[in-house]
Amino acid sequence: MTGAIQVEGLVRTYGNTRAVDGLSIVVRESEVYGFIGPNGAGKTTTLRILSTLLAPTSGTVTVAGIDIERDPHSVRRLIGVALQESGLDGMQTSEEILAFHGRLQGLRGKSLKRGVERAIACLGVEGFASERISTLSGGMKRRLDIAIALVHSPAILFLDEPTVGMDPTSRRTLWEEISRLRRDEGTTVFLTTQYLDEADQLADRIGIIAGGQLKAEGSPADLKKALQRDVVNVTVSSRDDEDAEQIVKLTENNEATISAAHSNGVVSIQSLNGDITMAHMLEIVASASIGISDISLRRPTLDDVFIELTSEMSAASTGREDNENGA
Amino acid sequence: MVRDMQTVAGRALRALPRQRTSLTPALFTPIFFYVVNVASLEHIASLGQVPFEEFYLPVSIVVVAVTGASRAGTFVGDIATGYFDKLCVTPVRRSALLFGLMIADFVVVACLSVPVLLIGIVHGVRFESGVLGILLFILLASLWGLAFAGFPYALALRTGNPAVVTSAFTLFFSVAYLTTAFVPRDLLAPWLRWVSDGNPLTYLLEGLRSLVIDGWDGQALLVAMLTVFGVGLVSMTLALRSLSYRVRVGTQEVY
Ligand SMILES: Nc1ncnc2c1ncn2[C@@H]1O[C@H](COP(=O)(O)OP(=O)(O)OP(=O)(O)O)[C@@H](O)[C@H]1O
Ligand SMILES: [Mg+2]
Repeated sequence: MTGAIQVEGLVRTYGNTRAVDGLSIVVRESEVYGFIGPNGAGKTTTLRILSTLLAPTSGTVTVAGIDIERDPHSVRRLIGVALQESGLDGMQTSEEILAFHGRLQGLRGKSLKRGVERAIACLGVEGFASERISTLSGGMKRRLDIAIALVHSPAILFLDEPTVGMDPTSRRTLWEEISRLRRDEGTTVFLTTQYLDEADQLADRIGIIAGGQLKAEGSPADLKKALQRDVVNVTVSSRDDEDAEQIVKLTENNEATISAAHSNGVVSIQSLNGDITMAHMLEIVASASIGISDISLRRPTLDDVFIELTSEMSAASTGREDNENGA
Repeated sequence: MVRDMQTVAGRALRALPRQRTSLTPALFTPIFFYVVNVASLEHIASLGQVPFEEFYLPVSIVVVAVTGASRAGTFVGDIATGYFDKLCVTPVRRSALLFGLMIADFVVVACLSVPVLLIGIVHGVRFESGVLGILLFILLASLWGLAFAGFPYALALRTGNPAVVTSAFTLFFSVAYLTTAFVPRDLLAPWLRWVSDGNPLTYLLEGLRSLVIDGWDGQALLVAMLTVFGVGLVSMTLALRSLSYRVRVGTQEVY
């Protein structure tokens, strides 16, 4: 099966820095692919390559089946791009810049008018459509920037940290719009973000990148499941350390338990399977007749997955930078 | 390609009325120098045959073509803000980004030369070649603006640095004096005569002057045309090279 975006063995170096280091991913058609990773992981570099702005050092990339190096012009007809840091021409009004970009994309007459109206409507740009861009606030510019990427109804949309600087309402609106584009128009979306709740909400699949390499990939649910790290918290009603200690002793033998500890009468158990641990816990307290006031199960969030997968990596990359400085 | 150029030129021209602060000096500097230089020099420089106001008018027009013309600053701004990247992800032809702005330059120079010409006519300048000559005069000046514009564009695209582009204009002003700006060739010091012979501006000025002073002088006009064409060829080559450099490195490398 060919994907909307196919990346194979992608490498991009800046001097001695390997910003992208052997990346291979496939983004399917009409899929929202969330690309997450710590600062300097190589997200923007990847996105700039995929959107024909930056040449890869090695590796191949096809977008909609077209090789980006062989025929970038055709790729540009199919994509819409909102970059992480992009200026806009302050001399124009929002409406003018949208029409300008529509024309650059080859729209004329009615289709141009429709494209501009649609882009204005879906990013809530109405309120400042005829204002000079230099007078807009940061969040308004961000919204306009994304509206520009949508004006020609691209089949594939690249968004680099699209919601940075947006107020919560605008963020929601954009999320809804992205979901709608995928659902109603079959748009493929490749987006990077630092907000894991955003990736969790929006993305069909997520790729976690660190040090230019793909660390994990899958649906948000799969990634969380793969972490196998549920946490069960039990509060002893007596708040008595002895009771808590006893629970710790009794759970340690259970096969689902990874580790158990207590403090201030609250026992916290890291578990491979929270459901088993919960059931086991209820048995223990009943048979040992220990009174408990609260028991809760917390599933891992994407934050847990992210931290787990990228923590060792960021330590490694710091080491690498030190080497460079020494050289 | 033609539509791309129209679109790009349209953006630049729409911005013009909003850039009054940069356009005003472009209009008034040449008028100022024309009026002041004529007032101070007409008696010593007229030398009987040619009135100085007629001799000097083409110099002012050439200055207009250079100060008022270039939208090269637009490129510098677009590179600095990263907007250039946003243009580059559209399917617009890269050369249309350049030529579109140059078309806008051409229009601006043509418009700006009219008031300078009017001031000249108020001063008593009469075109020996008539109305058609006036039109050709404006056309030549605008074409010169276009030919010269390649240099600031080349610098703007190569460096992405506004200071470099500004100093290019300063440099031009020096070059504009290394020619027959104020007096005919015979009156220049020998070394300056030698330099001015190698300065393309000399031939452009001769062509423009012939329209004012002598009427229709085919040879002078042809030489002026060829000069503009030659300078244009060099400057466009440089500009296109810088463009392909800039497209390759994006907005990240700025000097
Ligand atoms: N123009 C450049 N010149 C040199 N190094 C660069 C350049 N752009 C990026 N890098 C380096 O490449 C690496 C990846 O950068 P990139 O911008 O892709 O990270 P990112 O994942 O987008 O980070 P962030 O979350 O902060 O946006 C970093 O180490 C960065 O320093
Ligand atoms: Mg980034």
